[in-house]
Amino acid sequence: MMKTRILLIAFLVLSMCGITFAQDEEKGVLLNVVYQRDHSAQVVLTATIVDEEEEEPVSGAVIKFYTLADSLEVLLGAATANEEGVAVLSIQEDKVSKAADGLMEFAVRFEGNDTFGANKETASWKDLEMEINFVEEDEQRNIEVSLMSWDDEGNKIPVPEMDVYLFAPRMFSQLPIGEIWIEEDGKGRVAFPEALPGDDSGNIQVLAKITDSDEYGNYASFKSIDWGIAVSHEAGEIPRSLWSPSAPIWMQVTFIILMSGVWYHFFLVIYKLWRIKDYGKNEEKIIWDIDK
Amino acid sequence: MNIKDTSTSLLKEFAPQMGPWSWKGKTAVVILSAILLWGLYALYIQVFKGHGVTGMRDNVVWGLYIANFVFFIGISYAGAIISGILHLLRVNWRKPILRIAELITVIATIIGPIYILLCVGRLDRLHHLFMYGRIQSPITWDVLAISTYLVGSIIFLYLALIRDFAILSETNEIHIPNWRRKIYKLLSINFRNTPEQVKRLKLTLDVLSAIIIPTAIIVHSVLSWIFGMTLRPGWHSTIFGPYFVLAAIFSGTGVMIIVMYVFRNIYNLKRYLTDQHFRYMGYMLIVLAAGYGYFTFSEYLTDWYTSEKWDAELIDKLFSFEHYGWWFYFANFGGILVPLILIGIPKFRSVKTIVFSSVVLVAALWIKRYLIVVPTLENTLLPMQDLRPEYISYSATWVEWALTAAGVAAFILFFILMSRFVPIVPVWETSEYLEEIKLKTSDEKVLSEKRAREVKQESISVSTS
Repeated sequence: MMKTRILLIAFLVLSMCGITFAQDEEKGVLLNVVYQRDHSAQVVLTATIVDEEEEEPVSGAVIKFYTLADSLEVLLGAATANEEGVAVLSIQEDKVSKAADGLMEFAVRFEGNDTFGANKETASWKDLEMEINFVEEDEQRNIEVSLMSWDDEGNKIPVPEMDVYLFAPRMFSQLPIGEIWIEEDGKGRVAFPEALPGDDSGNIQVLAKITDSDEYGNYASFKSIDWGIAVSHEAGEIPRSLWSPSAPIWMQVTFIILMSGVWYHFFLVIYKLWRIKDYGKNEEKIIWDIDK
Repeated sequence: MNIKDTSTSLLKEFAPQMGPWSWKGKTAVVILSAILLWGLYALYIQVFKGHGVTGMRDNVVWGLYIANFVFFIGISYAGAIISGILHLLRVNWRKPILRIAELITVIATIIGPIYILLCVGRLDRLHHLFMYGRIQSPITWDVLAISTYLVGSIIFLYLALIRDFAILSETNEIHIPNWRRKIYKLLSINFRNTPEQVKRLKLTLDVLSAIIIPTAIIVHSVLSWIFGMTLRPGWHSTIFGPYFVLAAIFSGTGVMIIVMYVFRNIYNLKRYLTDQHFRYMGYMLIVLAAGYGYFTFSEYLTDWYTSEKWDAELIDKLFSFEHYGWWFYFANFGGILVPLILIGIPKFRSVKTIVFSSVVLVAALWIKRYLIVVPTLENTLLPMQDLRPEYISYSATWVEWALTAAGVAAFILFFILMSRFVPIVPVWETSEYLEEIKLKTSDEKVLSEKRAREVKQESISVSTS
């Protein structure tokens, strides 16, 4: 019985010490990485780092990004997490190691600091090719998107069963204009929206996006076509606009009359002061009793 | 009328303010100079580190500086309107308070535009405003109107000073150092009070009084149009011109009452800045408070009733105690109701309550200018990608507060220095005023004696008949 009690007390003491030690230990972090690529052969890797317990962003953390080539980590670069715990690295595609089937493996590392312990996260995505075509059949205008990837031997194969989202970039946001389901042959099609305003020649930029795919990550490509409604964005001449060559005549006339009126009187007063000076030349002292 | 004796006695009475500094005066100058130096240090920081040290950002591009600018230009109305209108109407009691009014105008018109320079940045390009300025831009209107107004105000002040310069250059009643006497002589432009000189001086004063009033109205209208011509909630209003003009006269009158009270107590000028002056100025405040209240009600009622999206957002923010509620209620109720109640009800009316009302309304109108400038800019009309709190809500930094305090200190310091150079109560005009009162009193006495004699004779003739 006594032995049990001693063991119990020892266990409790050790447990408490354990808690204390645990409190002194560095906190853990969670890492997450997102892959994004567009037609310009620019790869954007976005890592997010948060406190493991409170899930608060760890700002200021330095994140290193690696590409895995034959299981070896090759450093791509490092970025510091912002206030939201997001570190972004943008690199050229040719710096990323790629297998014959287009598989790209990445690792992100946080090497720890005084508060947080080190952590590592790996992720892999496959590269793909996206082609946007504008097809007109039976007076019907369509947007056609085809997706291709590679097999183990490096041969091109269609990418089936994917959602592709279409947008038309506007001044402040991207206007959704359709959604395409990619069939078994790697192609999908949707009708081109009617009455979509374009530039003064009717040009519209169509942006196709794959988002949050487990296999392909995020991919975007765009192409322009002159199927929009031509809208002239040239504003008519506004005479009072700050960039117009000269102000309206009425404004100039009013301005000149007002300013000349006031300044004429100022100069008149100054002239009168001059005359006052002249009239006092012959007097030595102030004439006190003449004010009435 | 011989006003020499009165002028001499006035000069003797005003001698202490123009003589050696008292310890209180020295302390005041040291404190004000220290505040001014603090402001200069803040300016140094702002120039070398850029506008990032202020609370102004891409969205809220105007803050404390513009509020101060509008405020100072507003109080400059004291001289232009009060002395201009009262001069044209030949109101005699204006004479002892003229100098204070005109000094407020000139000093405030010099200090106000400095805040624009603090706000714009890239002062190395300031001359572009004159070289490439567009007449169609309200900013150009403002630059030209304010510089014209400043020139007019300085001439107006100078015209009113000429006769005192002449007295000061000749008098032997008070000790004036030779170098100062030479300056007075130069500035008096040989004024000897000859009939021709008097005639021309009166004419020039009449002309300038008539010109300075519309100029002042144009200046503040143009200032309001910088806001009014912009399609923003709370700014795009057709009544902004007259609303700004009225608010300016209101705040200018308030500042004038405060300055009158301070100088009356410092230099013991109760004989000249009388309770009657405060009472008359108080009556002006009642009228102005009522007019200003009417404009305020009309402005916010229109915005609130139509409830256009952006206007409604702004109104909600102004009325909400979580945002600007306390400030808004103080600025729009305190500033109007306090003068109306304290001065309007005879039981409460006294010099102290008039001065207190002025302090409240001046504070309220400064806050009002802040509420015109900042909350409107905090309403983001265009979508923004990066909505960091400091981008959409303005908070003034120590640099801006330091420069604000420096502006107020400079205003007081200028006033103290000017009161050392020329009597704060105009000697010539006040002598005229006192002589006229004397004449009027003696005339009335003669009349009443004559009337009494006539009555007596009538009663004698009635009794004999």
